[in-house]
Amino acid sequence: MYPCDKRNRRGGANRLRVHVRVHEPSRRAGAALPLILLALCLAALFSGCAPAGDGGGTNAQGAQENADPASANTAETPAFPDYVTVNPVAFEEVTVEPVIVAGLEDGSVSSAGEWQYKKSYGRISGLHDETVQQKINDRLKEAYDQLENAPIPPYRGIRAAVPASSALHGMNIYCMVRGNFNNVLSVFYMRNCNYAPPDAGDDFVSVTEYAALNFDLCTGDEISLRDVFKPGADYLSILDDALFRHLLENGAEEEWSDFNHDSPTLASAYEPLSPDQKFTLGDNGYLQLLFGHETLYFETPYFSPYSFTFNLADFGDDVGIYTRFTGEGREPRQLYAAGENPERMLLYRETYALKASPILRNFSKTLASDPGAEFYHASINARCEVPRELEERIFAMLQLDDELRARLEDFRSAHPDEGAYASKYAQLNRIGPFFSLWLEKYVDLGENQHSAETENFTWHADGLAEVRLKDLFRDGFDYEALLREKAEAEFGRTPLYENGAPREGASLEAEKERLLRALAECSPRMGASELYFSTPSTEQQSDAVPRPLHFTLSYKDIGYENLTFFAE
Amino acid sequence: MFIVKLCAAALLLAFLLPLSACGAPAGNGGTLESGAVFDASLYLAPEDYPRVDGSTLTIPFSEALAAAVMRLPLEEARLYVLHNKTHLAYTNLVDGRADIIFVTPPSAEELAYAAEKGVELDVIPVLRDAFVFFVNAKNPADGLRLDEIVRIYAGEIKNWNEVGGEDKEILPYQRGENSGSQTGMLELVMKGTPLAPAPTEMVFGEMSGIVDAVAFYDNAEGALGYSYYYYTQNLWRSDQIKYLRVDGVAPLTEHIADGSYPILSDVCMVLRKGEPDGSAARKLANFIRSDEGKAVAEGAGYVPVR
Repeated sequence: MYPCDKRNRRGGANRLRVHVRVHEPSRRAGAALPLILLALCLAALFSGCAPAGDGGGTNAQGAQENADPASANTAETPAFPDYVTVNPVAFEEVTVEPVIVAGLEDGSVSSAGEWQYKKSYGRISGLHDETVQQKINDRLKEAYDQLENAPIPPYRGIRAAVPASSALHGMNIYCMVRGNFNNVLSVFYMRNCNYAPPDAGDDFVSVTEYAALNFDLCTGDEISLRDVFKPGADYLSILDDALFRHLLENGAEEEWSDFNHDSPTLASAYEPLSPDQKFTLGDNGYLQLLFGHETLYFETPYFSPYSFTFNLADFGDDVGIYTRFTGEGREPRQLYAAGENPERMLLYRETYALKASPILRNFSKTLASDPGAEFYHASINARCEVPRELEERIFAMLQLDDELRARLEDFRSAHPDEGAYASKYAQLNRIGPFFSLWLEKYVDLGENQHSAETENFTWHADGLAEVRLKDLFRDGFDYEALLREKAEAEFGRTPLYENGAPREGASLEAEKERLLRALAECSPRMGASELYFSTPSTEQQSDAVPRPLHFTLSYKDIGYENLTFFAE
Repeated sequence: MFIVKLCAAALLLAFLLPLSACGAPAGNGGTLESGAVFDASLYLAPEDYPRVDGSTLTIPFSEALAAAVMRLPLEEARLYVLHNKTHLAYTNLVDGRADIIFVTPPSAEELAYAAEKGVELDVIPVLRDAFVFFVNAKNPADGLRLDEIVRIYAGEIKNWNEVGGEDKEILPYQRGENSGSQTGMLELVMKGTPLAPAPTEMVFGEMSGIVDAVAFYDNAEGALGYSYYYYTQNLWRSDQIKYLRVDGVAPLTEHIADGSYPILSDVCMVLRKGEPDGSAARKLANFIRSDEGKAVAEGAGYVPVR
């Protein structure tokens, strides 16, 4: 392989912990060459608004980027947080120029008879410091202008698909916020162009590229990938290891007979990440690395970048983004016009780096009399490490109980020509300080005899004690009144009120009380911004499938001060 | 990975320096530094360059070739090289959307497609690859006979102590059904002997939720995996794995070049038989078979057919 341009740009950095194995004696000496890289990081000093951590500044250009000072004070930095604070800034998508282009020829036009293109850039408001706000808005507009005026991106093979004589048919530029938390704003731009190559008839070639901007909302400076991690963290090695493992797990080194965007193919040797790697940060704990034409080692058959998403929880105590730009002088009320009691969101601690989940299981049962007839199926889906004890609890929930087995067998015996089937599906999330499970049970005993139920379960991640609803609220808070109010409103949106008795022999009021009692004693499911509730199944119409009612209560409506897991 | 690059650069330098010492040879096979250009004796302007296509594996070869013949820096030449994977490359060639392709030999399906379209294919081996087996570096096993490999993957041999190793279960990992390595395993190694079921794991299917999939080689102590030599040498390397000798021959470049390694695979250039002499595709084919062309292949990390 050639020592390509990227190596030169990156100053020869080699942080990938994938070692070379050389089995030929003549090469062994070469493989043993030590690779020690040391680059100096110039700490930029911020006046009056210094980020927490190392005092090191931001470096969007990636110029002097590399190792952090050894004085990193990681011991005093809090562990990976349970939640983030949402920045109370508004983001506006400013449409520049909605363009309508007639089709090239008959047959090439859209169903509406024309192609529509839209270009927009982002603009924020809500910061106290108008200078900082203007700085960010100028940069957002500048990024838009750069994208709008950028030449066709030099993807592998682009000139074979889009010769220089190709006409640009239209351009879309989208702008969106990916993350807006803890004084960090992460903005994503996508430019998509349609080209009409000569001799291609009505076919367009679509070419896409991304831009990513991440801001410190206190200073308006852009932050780099280094700033996502704690001072001293070998962040490039950490990410290289995770990405390379992902590639290997997906067979990225060889040709597959189908193109798959989630499993890219290496067109040449993987190269270590550079400090100026494009990235965005998601509200729910996600770090997304973006790989465009600059990263030529990926095959890009659709002339579109690849992205890889990691949950920052994968990198545990090395993550610094949640505390780096907060702290003294950076409280929301100091930075934002609407800075009092900002919203909060629980962080997910799940992994998207690994193709296989450690707790993915399928269970199935077949009839002894007819092994070919699968009549029960259950599965669990999770993207988090699960303690053995909890795994066993969940697996027990997914087993076919004797009563249900008997019902299925009896029905099958009595109705050999009809299907009898049951299933359970569980989704487990690791969120904030909890594990939270959603369990759906479905039973099908022929026409008009099927039912669906949903249950939620939440456990404390520390100790695995089951969380009951009351455990989530501070002492003295009347959560039952709030729950009743919300449930009443939800009932009002169902056919319960409209169609009379919800369950045979039960009055509407009695049915509501039954559901409310069950809710008050339940274990809810935790979301990033709300609690999820499911009632026991109720028949909404006399001939309908019994189903649970679902509704949510947002943490904001409950009041963060009333919830135990939003400790200050 | 930087070492990989250093090794590659060293190999290229080893080739280039003697030529340079002889005084500006005509053609040298590639670029050494970013932006550098090395002229080949054949020159084709980008607008005259034939429509190339091919497999993923041959992208670096094709790009190096384009750089040499177009006399462009590699990063510029690669803009003109678009490979669409093996099968589509064949159909593009047959349908006249490509003039020369770099691929594994045609499958029965691809030959049938060409015959149906009335196109005869000119299949010329140009690169040689090896099918290699590897184990955890701590595994004391050093090699296997080819027939032992077949019996392991057929499910007949289950413990390393049956093939001279320690008492440890063999975990014979396979690759996904639609991967190039799995095709190679079936065609080059098993040759009609059915594979035993592969270890599987639950994964998130792209479209289908949770599915069973062939388990990823995890380098457990008893694990046995396989791939192509080019992939393992050029696209990823690990000091955690050890290559096995097959029938006593190690998968080394020299053993691939001299044909002594027992599981070899050709990479071919394929043209339509009707491609006229003097066409750009024919000129390029002739160049590839020349010493210069072989040097380009070597410089890009391949073993050319001699």
